[in-house]
Amino acid sequence: MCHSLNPVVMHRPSGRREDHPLRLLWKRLVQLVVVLLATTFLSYLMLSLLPGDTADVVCGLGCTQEQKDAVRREYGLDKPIPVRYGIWLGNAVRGDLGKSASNQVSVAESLRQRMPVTLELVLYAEIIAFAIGIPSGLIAAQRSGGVFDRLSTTFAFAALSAPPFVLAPILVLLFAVTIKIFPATGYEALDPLTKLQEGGIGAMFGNLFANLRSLFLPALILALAEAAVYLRLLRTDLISTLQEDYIQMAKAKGLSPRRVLLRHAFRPSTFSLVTVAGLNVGRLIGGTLIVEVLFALNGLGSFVVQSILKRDYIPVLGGLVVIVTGFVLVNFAVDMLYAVLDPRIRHARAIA
Amino acid sequence: MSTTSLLASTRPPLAVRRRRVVGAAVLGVLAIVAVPACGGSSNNNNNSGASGNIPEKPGPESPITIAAEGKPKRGGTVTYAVEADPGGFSATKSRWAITGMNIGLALFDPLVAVDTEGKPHPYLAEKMEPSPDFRVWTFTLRKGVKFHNGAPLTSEAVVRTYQGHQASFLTGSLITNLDKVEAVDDLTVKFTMKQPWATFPSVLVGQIGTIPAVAQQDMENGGPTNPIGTGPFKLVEGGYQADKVVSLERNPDYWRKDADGQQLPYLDKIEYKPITENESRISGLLSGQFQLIHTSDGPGIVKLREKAANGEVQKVEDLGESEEGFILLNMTKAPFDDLRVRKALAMGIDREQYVSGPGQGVNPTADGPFAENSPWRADFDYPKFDLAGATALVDEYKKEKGPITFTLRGGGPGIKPQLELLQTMLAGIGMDVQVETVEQTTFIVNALNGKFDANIWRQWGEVDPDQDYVWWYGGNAKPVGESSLNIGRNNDPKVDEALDRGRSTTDTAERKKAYADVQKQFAATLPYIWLDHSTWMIAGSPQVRGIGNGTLPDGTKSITIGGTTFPGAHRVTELWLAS
Repeated sequence: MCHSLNPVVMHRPSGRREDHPLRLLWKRLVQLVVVLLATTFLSYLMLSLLPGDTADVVCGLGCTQEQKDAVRREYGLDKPIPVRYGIWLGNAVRGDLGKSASNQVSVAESLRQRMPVTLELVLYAEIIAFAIGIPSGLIAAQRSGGVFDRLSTTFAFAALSAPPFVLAPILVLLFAVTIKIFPATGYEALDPLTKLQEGGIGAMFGNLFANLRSLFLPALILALAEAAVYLRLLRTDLISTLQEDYIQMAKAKGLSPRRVLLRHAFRPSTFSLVTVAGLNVGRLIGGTLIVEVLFALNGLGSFVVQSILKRDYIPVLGGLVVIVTGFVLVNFAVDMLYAVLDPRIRHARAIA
Repeated sequence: MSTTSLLASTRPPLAVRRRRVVGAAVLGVLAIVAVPACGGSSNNNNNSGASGNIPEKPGPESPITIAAEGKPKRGGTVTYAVEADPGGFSATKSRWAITGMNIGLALFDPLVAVDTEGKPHPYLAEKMEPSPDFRVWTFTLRKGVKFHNGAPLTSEAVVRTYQGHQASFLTGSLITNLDKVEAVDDLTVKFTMKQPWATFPSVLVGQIGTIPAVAQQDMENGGPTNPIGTGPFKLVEGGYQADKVVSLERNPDYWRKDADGQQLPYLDKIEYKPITENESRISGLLSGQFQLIHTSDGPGIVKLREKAANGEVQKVEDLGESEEGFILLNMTKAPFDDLRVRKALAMGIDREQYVSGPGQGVNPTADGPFAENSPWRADFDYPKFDLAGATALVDEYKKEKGPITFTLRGGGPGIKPQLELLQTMLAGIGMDVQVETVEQTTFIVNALNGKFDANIWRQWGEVDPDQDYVWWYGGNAKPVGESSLNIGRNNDPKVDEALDRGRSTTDTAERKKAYADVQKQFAATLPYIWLDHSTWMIAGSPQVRGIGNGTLPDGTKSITIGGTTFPGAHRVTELWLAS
């Protein structure tokens, strides 16, 4: 990447219509729909190949063959897979995601209850990851080769190597059992309005605090591996940016190293960081399963996996819709974020 | 207990499991068909102590509890971490595994409950009288009992319940002998059997004995999320959140009082939280989040025993009849149709080594369907561990019929360590064994249909041996391809005759003789290769008192843990918090 001093002149705007924001939005929407269709159909296909039968699960063991056949008919399991999928799709586009075969709870209701947990967990994890990773990356890059740099690299590799199911019992033993500052399991739901009504501002903040406290350990476990990645990415990009000519120019002008780092070098070095963060958030929306199990959190991850194990396919599809949509939307947001981070893209689009 | 479950939400379904999950799942799944009971018969010892059932020689399984000082205090909330979501509160339509049973006992009352000897006493019923030929049982209900919705307890609710069971493919198989149930008057119910059934009351201690209100039974699917019982606790409005919590509050009109006349229950609220991971439950107990937990996980039990010895927690273990782990053989298939092979299996497995492996020595070894301290246990000669003898039998068989190869299966990934241990042991005597774990539901369905060679199985912790009838009776052995409750297809007229004798009389001595004959026959013909007895532990924080079933309405002591459908389940009627 060769930057000149005059960013606007350097890259002549291509004037391509494809870069217009609305056009981009449209492309993304089409992409979303295609990905949703493909993932849900393929998943349904693969699930139906698993051993075990929904009818067996629902009907139980005392069932006679007629009773089982009746259950199969009731749940439409006697129809071929593409037809079953088509029926689900027809209902889904009208907003009806169906209900669980095992406990009759509507899928939309379950998702509504479980999404906030996972979303909050993912956001919390990202915030902690940024809070650890970005300052560390900045310092490590500023004094690259120094003590902090080497220590933080070691920490990064340690955090990346320790899987969540190893970290979790250790952290729980330390912070929940021995020093009782965090709860070992469970989750205090965020309910600010009710608490405000019941007990005023104090209760509302109490609820917020309890919520953050209950999610801290699981979020930390997710965040550690990511913080390591962000630290390394930022550090590497920064080191390379800091060698650019315009940075030398800024230093020559007499700007303080801190100003140079934060005002001039940081933003251009965040592209990889933002891309990976976007991918992470998208991945985590469905990937918090292990942490959810270890801390008994009722989130999206455990919902999908429990449904798979119960051969309860309709909830799985509903969960997938949420996860895939989340993933695509987050990456779309990341694309839009590039425009914010890089003025050239913004100007290119504006001119186009 | 890792139980979780695949069958609807009664068992812990997650892939991160331990061995116990299999037991739980199998247990829960089979509960559908026969509501296995547990805990009934207990020890010969007479020290009652605050929690009852202390074994003669204090051992690692002895309860460690804090004695109550003064009278029970009223009030407070207890959080009980359980292994799975209960999966529905309908007595006739839901499948209760241990969690469902625990919560079921808080919301409902069973007609019958057992004392420390496993003998049935009327509980919700006031009287129960058989006709001289045991063909008709007349139950009189207690007066003045109300359901949570204010409706009075009448015979209509009981009649509807049993008609519901008869129509239910889940629970009906345990009462196939029931011909009809009728209301004689508002408080009297007449049960008429097809065949004489002396031990009928023992069936009414678990799920199939609880009485829901007619209003609940009239709801769709039996009202699985709307329990209306007569029990000490009722569901808080909106108190059931699937996989999250079951919130119960005191029933202010509960019909039981304690010995001092104080109305039960003592607690204001009890919350059951499904936490599938054993480690998480234990951490939660140690960190003060939970006041009660249960577990059947070997390493977890070892850890909690240490903590209890240090005074950090209290614990009570189920010392009664809990289930057995065993190898279930398909008797219709070679090589298991040959007694020599079965003998070789029994002699070739070192049970001591088996229990000290993955389970860390927590479970006692088994050589029959009854626990060491069960009053039903007889004397018989089960083959001892004898490698040379086993190998000799295998060699003899091989000379005649060729190599011995089969697949040993278990349900769920958690059982893999046990499978591999057995595989190694059996290779040592010359058998070529493949091992395989199978997804739970398929595992059980295949077993019932006879599509298996040998399975690691866990079952048969019944209060009364008559409840094992349905599993052991030759008449229930259906051909491969049909669903058979006698899963191993062991069709033995001697066993059948003894089982029929056992249920035809209430004379305990006669019954013990009958079941002694069953045990001797099992030891001789070896349809089941016994491994171990399971262990359940309830652990509590130092503040709780009165862990366990407590007393019966007539003041008799009840068996501490169990005595219902599931090992490890218990009432919470007399639970209280000391501070």
